[in-house]
Amino acid sequence: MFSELKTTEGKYMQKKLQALTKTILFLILAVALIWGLNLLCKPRWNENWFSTPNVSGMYDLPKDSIEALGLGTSITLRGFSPLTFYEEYGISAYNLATEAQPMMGSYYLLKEFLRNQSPKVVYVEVWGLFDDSNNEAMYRKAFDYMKLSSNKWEAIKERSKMDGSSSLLSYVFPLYMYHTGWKDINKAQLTEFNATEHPLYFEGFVMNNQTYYPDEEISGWTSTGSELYDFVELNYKYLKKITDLCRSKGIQVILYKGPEVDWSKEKHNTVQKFADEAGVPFIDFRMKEVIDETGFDFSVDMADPTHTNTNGAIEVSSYLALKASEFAAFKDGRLKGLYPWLDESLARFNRERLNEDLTRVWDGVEYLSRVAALEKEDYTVYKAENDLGEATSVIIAGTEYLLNQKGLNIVVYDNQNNHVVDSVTIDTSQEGELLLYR
Amino acid sequence: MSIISLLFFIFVLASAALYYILPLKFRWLVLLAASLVFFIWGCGLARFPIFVAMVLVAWGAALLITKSSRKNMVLGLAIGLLALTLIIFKENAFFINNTGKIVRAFGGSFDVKPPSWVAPLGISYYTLALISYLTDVAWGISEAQKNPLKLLLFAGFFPQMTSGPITRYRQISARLFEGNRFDSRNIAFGAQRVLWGLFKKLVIADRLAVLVSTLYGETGSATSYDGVYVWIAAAAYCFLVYTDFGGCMDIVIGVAQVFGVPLPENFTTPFYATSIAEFWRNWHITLGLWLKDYIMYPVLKSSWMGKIRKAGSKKLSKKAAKEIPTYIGMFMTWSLIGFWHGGDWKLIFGAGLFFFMIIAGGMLLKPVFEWMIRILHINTNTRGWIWWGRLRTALLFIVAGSFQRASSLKGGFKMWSKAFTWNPWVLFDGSLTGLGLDVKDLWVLVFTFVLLVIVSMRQRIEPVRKTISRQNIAWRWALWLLLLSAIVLFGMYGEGYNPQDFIYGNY
Repeated sequence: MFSELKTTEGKYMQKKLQALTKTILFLILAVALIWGLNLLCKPRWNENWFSTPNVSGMYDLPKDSIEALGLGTSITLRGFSPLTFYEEYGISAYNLATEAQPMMGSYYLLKEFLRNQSPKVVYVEVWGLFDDSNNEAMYRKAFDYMKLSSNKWEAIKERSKMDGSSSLLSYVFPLYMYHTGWKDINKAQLTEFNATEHPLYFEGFVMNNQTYYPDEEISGWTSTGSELYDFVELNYKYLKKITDLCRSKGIQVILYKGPEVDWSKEKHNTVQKFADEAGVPFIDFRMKEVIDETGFDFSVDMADPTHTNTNGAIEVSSYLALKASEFAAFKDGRLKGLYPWLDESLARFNRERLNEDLTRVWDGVEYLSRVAALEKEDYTVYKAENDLGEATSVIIAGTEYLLNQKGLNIVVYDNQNNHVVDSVTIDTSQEGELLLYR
Repeated sequence: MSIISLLFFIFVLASAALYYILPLKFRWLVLLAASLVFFIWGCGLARFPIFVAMVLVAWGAALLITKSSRKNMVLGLAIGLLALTLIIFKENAFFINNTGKIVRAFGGSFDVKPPSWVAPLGISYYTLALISYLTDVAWGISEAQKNPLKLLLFAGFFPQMTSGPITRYRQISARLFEGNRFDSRNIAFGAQRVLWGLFKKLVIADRLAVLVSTLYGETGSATSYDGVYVWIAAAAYCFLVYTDFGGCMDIVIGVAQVFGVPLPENFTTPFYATSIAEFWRNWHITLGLWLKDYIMYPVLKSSWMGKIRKAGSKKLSKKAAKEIPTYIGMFMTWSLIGFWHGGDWKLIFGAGLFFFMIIAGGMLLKPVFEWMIRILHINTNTRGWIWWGRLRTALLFIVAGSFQRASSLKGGFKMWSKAFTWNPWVLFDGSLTGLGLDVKDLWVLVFTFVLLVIVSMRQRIEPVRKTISRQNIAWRWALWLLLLSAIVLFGMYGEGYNPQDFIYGNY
C-alpha cells in the first residue's frame, strides 16, 4: 500500500516538477522575447547625425587615456574638436556632448566618464545653464546609451522625480515608453549601426561645412556691464555639482561659451559671477580679446547663429587646448605614439577636411584640377556628359547622386571614408568660362 | 490596484505562491487575506467597515433564517438593508436629482447636491451576491455559512471585486473554502485566459476608446459628427464595451482559475445571437440570470401577480392574462438592469428600457412578423436569415448602447438625429485617420477584429485554449508568445497614453 501511495505521490511530484520546468523555460523565452522587442523599439538617436555615439563610445576608450573632456550641448558637439587638441598639442581629448544636453546630463555623464578616465581638464559649455526647455529627448539622448550602473540609476531616478513626465520604468525598460516604435520600423532599426566605427566619427565631434552669413557685423565685446540674467536653478545646481566633483578629484574645470550670435552680456555676467565664486576660469568667445587671439570670424566661421562650422570649431578647440596648458601639464601623445586610435581618426579627419574644402570650390577650372588630383588619392570620380539631355545615373547605396543637368556631371566618392563627397554640374556650353552648379 | 497593472500581477503571483505552499485547509485564508488587502488597497480602510458590516448583516440574517419561523420577514429586512446601502452609495444621485426636478417643476426650490463619496469597491457586485446567498438560504438551496470569515471571502473574493461576475454562493463556495490542489492545467489555462484578456483590453478596447473619445467629444454626444460618423461612434462604443468588459472578465476568470476557483462566464459570443432576448442570454450573463432568478421569477410567482392574472382572464383573453404579468416582470427587470448601471435616465433607457421595448414589441408584433414571413415566403432556415437576425440584433444593441456613452438621454437622441446625413465617402477618403488613430493603428484594429471573429467562431465549438492545448508544444508556445508580443507592441499603455479604467470597474 505504501509503495502505491509513494508512486502516486511520486508521480504527482514528478508532474509538478515537469510543470515547473516548462513554466520556467516558457518564462525565459518570454523574457528573451520582450528584451528583443525592447531592443527593436529602443529609440535610436544615432541616425540623423552623430550626436550620441560618443556616449557609448566612451566605454571603448582605453583606461585613463583621455586628458581633456568637453561637455555641453550641440554647441560643443559642433564646436569642440578633440582631434585638434591632438594634432596641435598632442593632448588626448574626448567630446561627450549630446544634443541639448541638460546640466544634469553633463553631471552624470561626467561621473560615468570618471569611472574609467582621469582627465586633467573638463570643459563645460555654459549655454545649458539658461535652458529651461525640459523635453524628454534631451534627457534620453544623455542617458539612453549609458550602461546600467549606479550612476545611470541615480541619474534616471533624479530625472523621474523631476516632474513625473517620465518614469524610472521607462528608462530601465524603454519598451514601456517606446513600444509604438513598431510604427517606424525601418532598415536602421533592424540593422546594427555602430557609429563609433563609422568613418565620419571623430571622437564625438560633428563636422559641419555650412557657412552662415550674418546680416550685420558681429564684433567682440570689450565690456559687459553688470546686469545679470536669471539662470535655471536646476542647471545651476548641477553645474555646481560638476565643479565640486572636479575639485574633489583635482580636475580643472574650464567654463566656456562657444561663439554665438545671440549670446547676451547679462548671461556672460551671470556665468562670470558663477566662475568667480567657484574659482574656475571662464572663456567667452564673444569677448574681443578672445576673438583677437583666435582670429575667429563670425562672418565665415559659423554654420548658423548658434553653431560653429568645422573651421570655426578648429579655431575654438585650438584656443581651448592652448588655455588648458595654463592649468595642467599634458603628455604630447604625438611623439610617443600613445594614442594610436587618435592617429587613425586624425588621418580620416584631415581627409574629411579636404573633402569639405572641395565642396567650397565654385570655380569650374579649379574644380576640375582638384578632381584630377583626387583621382590619384583613392577617390572614385564619376563623370557623365549630358549634352543631349539624356539621363545618366550614379546610384550608390540606393540613392541617385548625379545631378543630370546639361553639362559635365561629376560625382566624387571617397573610397576611404566611404561616402559621396560632392555632386556638381559644370556647364561647358559657355565660351571662356566653366560655370559650376550644385 | 488596477488589474492590468504590473503590481497586480506581482500580487497574484505572490498570492498564488503562498496559496500552493500552504496546506490545503489553510489555503482559503490566503484568498481571504489577499482579498482584504486588495479591497483596502482599492478603496481605502474607511470603506472596509461598511463592507464588513454588509457581510455580517447577510451572515447573521442567513443564520436567523434557518432558525426563525419568520424567515420571509428576516429575508426582506436583510435584503432591504443591503439594497439600501447600495442605493445610498451608488444610486443616490438618481433620487436626489429627480426629486429636485419634481420639486422645481412645482415651483419649489431644492438645492441638495448628490454627495461625492467613494463607494466600497465592488459594492454593486457583492451586494447582489449577498442577496442571492440570502435568498438561496431562504429557499433551501444553500446552507447558511457559520463562519463569517468564509462569507467575507465569498463576498470579497478579489478577482471579482472590480467588475464581477456576480457569483452564486453554491457555485464557488466549495472551491473557495476547501482549498485546491496544484493543477498545472489550471495555472496554464488561467494565465492564457489572462493574456487573452489583456489583449482585448489593451490592444482593442483602449484603441477603440481613442475613437470613441474623439467622436463623442467633450459634450459626450457625438453631436459634432454626423452620418457615418454617428454609426462608427456607436459601433465603436459597443465593441469597446465588449472588449473592455470581456477583456476584464477574461483576466478575472483567468486569475481565479490560477487558484482553482471557477468563476461563471459573463459573455458567450453574444454577437451570434439572432434576437435581443438571445443576445442578453449571452451578454453580462450573471446579471441577467440574477435578475431572472431573484426578481423576474419571484415577481411572476408572487401572489399579486396571480391576482393580476385572474383579473386579466376575467376582463381580457386568457392569452393576455398570461402575458401581462410577463410584461410587467420584464419591465421591472429591464428597469432594474438600467438602474443598476447607474442612476441616470440615459442608462435606464439605454441599458434597460430600450431592450424591454424591443423584446416586448417583438412579442406583441410576433403575429405580424409571422404573417409577413408567410406572405413573403421567407425561408427562416437559411444561413442568410440567421445572419440577418444577427445583424439586426447587433444594430439594435449598438443603437441602445450608444445612449450609455452619451452625456444624457437628450444628448443621445440628438446624436441619432444626425445619423442619416449622407456621407459614406468618409470611409474611403482618409477622414477616419482624423479621429485620433493613424492608419497603422486603424489597421491594427481591423486585424485584431478579424482575430476576435476567428476566435469567437472557434469558441462556439470548443474553448480555444483547449484547441491550442492539443497542438505540439512549439506551436502552442509560439502562439502564446506571439500574443504576448502583440500586447507588448500594440498595447495602448505607458507614458503618453491615458490609462483606461475598465468601464465596468466603477460599479
